[in-house]
Amino acid sequence: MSVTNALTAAYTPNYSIDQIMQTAQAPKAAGFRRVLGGIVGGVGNIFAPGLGSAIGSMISGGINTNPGLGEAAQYLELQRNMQNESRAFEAASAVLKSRHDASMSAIRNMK
Amino acid sequence: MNWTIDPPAEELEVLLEAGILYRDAGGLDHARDIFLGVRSLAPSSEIPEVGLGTVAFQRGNFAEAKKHYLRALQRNPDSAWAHAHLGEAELFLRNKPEARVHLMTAQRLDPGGPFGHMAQDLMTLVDVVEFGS
Repeated sequence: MSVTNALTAAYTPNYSIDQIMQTAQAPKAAGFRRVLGGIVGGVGNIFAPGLGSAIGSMISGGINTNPGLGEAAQYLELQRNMQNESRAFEAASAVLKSRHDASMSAIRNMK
Repeated sequence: MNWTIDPPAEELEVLLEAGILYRDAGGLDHARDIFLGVRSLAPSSEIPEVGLGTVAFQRGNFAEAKKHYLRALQRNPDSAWAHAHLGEAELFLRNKPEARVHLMTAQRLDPGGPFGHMAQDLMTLVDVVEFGS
């Protein structure tokens, strides 16, 4: 699948799992990242509206499409963005857990 | 006749836990009703007020959530839980400096505890995720 087709699939609301998988295997994973960003953003918004959008936009907007960069530089940039995403997920996950723990602790202290 | 209902703390805990479960399961109207009921039964406690704030937050209404947290702090100015949630609401309202103040207050009030831990995790999130301004 070409990158153009992949992007078209990602922007189409009724994309299929096959399209996502094909997009993920494209040389430039921009389409997949856009789809992933949208999905993760939606999931994140269930827990904290706004947080999902923030992380989702971080993912989908993280790809470097600067044609002036060489392939190696683009992959380095991609690696850096992936590390940032990983940190964001870890941070959001930690917040969700500690929010729950705090709620339970507050309830136990009810007088 | 003047009726006073003074339910045991254990019963209020069960009600609050039900509210939390409803909230986390997406039953926001049920959660709100439960927290409103507990607030009526324990008007001096800040806990149901914070619960109401979390329901508003879950709806994406951060300004409304902030009002509840401020009311909770009127009842208990040293509530680390309320400060942590207020910091969270300020964060999503894109008031980063105010968010940091309340999160740091929560950490100071509950160092090493669950509320301080929540505030610490939110501070980490501030550094990692771009919330704007």
